[in-house]
Amino acid sequence: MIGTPQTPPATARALLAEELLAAIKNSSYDSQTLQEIVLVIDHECLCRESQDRFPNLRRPDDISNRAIATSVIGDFAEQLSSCLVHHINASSRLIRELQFRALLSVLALLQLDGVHAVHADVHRKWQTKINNRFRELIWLPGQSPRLSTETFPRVQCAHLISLGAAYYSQQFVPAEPVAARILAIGSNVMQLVVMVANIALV
Amino acid sequence: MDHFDFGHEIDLCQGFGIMGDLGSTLKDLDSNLSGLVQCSNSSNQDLFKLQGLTRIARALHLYSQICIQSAESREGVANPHREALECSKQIALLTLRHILKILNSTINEGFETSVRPPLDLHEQISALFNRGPVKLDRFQYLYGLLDCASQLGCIVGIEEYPNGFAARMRSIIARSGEASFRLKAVSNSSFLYRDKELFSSNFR
Repeated sequence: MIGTPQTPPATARALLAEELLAAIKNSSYDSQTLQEIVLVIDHECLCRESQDRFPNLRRPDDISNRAIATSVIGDFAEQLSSCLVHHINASSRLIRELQFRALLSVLALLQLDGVHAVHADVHRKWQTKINNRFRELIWLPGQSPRLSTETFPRVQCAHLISLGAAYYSQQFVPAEPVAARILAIGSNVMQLVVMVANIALV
Repeated sequence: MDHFDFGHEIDLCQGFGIMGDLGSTLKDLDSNLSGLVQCSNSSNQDLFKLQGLTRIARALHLYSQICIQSAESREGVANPHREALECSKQIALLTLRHILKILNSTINEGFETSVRPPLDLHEQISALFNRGPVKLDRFQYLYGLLDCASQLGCIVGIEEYPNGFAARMRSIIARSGEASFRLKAVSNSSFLYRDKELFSSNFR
């Protein structure tokens, strides 16, 4: 149990969020941990929605205060976009689905917190992580073109990670000028050309 | 992102019963969701908003359920939370009605026979070059609608489901050549068939 019966609701939620974040960081999580993360984050979304519209309105204490700081939400995004499924078994499909759902909720909460841009390096890192999660999903072993027990979880996870990737790319921009982005793309193209030329020469 | 900026503000707080005007809230929501029926292709922003609305409805439902149980166990007054619970159910019901409208719209007629997911080869190439998921297309949009419906189904009672919802799910199950649509429609239908009598009456 987090806190005591006298602990203010917002403090209890903040403590719970930190406990859940620590569980992810320490790799001591299971599907229930991720389910709790989804519930806590969704409740924070509810609090943001009600608070921002009517800041002076009388509301139950449980939803009147923001509990989780933006930095903690950012930490959640960092952890939930990382690889949480290291060993593939029957239970890993549920963990993967819950991870992607939680990531979607966290991104939505960041938006509700007014975050619309992310530091350029962080933006690239998160984008790469999301792309890696998609690649892991596509490269799962034992996938069959015929209908099997793996079909539905795979499609469900593919949908959620696609939604998450689209949401991230459309709602958060990297905090860098357009010229820097063009330069980065140009640099990547040059590297590709050099690589192809090297292969051709060999 | 604007908070559910469909054009008007949606006052979820009114549903807490604090301002006591659930009807006005639902009327606002209804008029704003009507705009979604017209969307012709994969409207990502609309899907994000529906997902957000689903998230809020589920959070409000869970919160009010727990508060009611807590108030009853302490012999307290649960009325404000009952109004919030009713609000969450009405929001879920309204959203389900609009999802059904979108699925039944002319532009989406027979989608279950014509819409296919991205090609496996496309996804494999995208994964190989680490380009991430393919862009959201019509398949993802429609699948997302069904996903929202299955989440909202946890909130709404069997007898409150919109008319025609069960029939539409049966149609998708029977006609869709795409397994993922069928499986999603089955998961939606499982809420409807929890009641054995309803199950048997639908299959006579």
